[in-house]
Amino acid sequence: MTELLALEPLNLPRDEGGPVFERPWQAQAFALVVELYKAGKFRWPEWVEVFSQEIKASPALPGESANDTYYRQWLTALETMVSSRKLVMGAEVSDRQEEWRQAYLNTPHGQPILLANAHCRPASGHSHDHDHDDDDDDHHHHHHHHHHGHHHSVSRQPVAVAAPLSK
Amino acid sequence: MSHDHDHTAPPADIELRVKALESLLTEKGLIDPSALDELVDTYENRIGPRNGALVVAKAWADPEYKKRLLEDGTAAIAELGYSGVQGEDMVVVENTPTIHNMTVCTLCSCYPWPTLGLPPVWYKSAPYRSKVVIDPRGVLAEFGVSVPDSKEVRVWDSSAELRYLVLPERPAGTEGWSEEKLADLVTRDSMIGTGFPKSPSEIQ
Repeated sequence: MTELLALEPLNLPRDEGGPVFERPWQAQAFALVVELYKAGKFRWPEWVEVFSQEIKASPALPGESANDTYYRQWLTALETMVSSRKLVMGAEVSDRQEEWRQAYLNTPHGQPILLANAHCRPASGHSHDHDHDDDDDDHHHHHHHHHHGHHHSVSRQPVAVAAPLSK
Repeated sequence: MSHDHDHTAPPADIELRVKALESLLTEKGLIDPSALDELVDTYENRIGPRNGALVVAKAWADPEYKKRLLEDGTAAIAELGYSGVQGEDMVVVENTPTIHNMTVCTLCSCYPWPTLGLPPVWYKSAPYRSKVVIDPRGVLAEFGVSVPDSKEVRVWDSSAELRYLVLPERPAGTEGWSEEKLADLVTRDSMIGTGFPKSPSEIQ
């Protein structure tokens, strides 16, 4: 079995010195996770758990670039994480997604896309002095308990060793 | 209802999902949108394998530093100012005339960001993650790296708790070189174990 696998070429994607992100949304999705982690909304091992489950559950699709696959999995894992932490619920995301779509459709080409345009088209296209109902002023500060120093027993051993073939 | 040019074509769904999350998290005060741009700039332009190369070069030039690096990678790397997300617990594994080390994250893409930057695309790919533990020598061959048959090849699985950095062997013919100059020899792949440092003739 090992021999069979060894015969298949790997065809690894290569990006020698290439861009880290292929598209802006990939960078934004990356940054959202790191910012939420820095804000203490989850511990890194918790992120890795959710992310690696998503990778396993949803492998590369035909025609997808390696980075598109990776950041699609990354974004879905982020959605799972924020919903399980009750930071943002799934319905809110899908509602907001539709609002953004509507905002694009309502915005004449060349003008900035604003969420306010989701419900009414910009009048002259330039002034946006509508009042936003900002009823979310009292930001709750959640206290998260970090378990520093509590490491699972990590065995510092190689996961694979290929013995010398000759002396 | 709308005329041509009277609207803007919405982007792909995945972009709308990111925009939705970003705007919701901002409104709830959970993230600062200006910090996002700063963070992307940092990872795109300011954190990269040059940091790791300086760690390796110092270890080559300073035996006391090398000792500290192998004993407590996190602390020795922090001496040079490199710490942060995905660098909290570092283990440095040394290549020797009889041992070649490689790193992987079999579950996802755990990687020492403060020393190497974000991982290359192949590191994140399923073929690398799965095959390197089954056939390390075959993967090395794919990279065009020939490790002598007489060497043991060790594969280290980075995780959410700890990440590995390979300390490659110092190339011959570099006696008396400054750390700066030595660092020019150190490639990203040589610190993952899928490559070797450059030889002196390559940079002169």
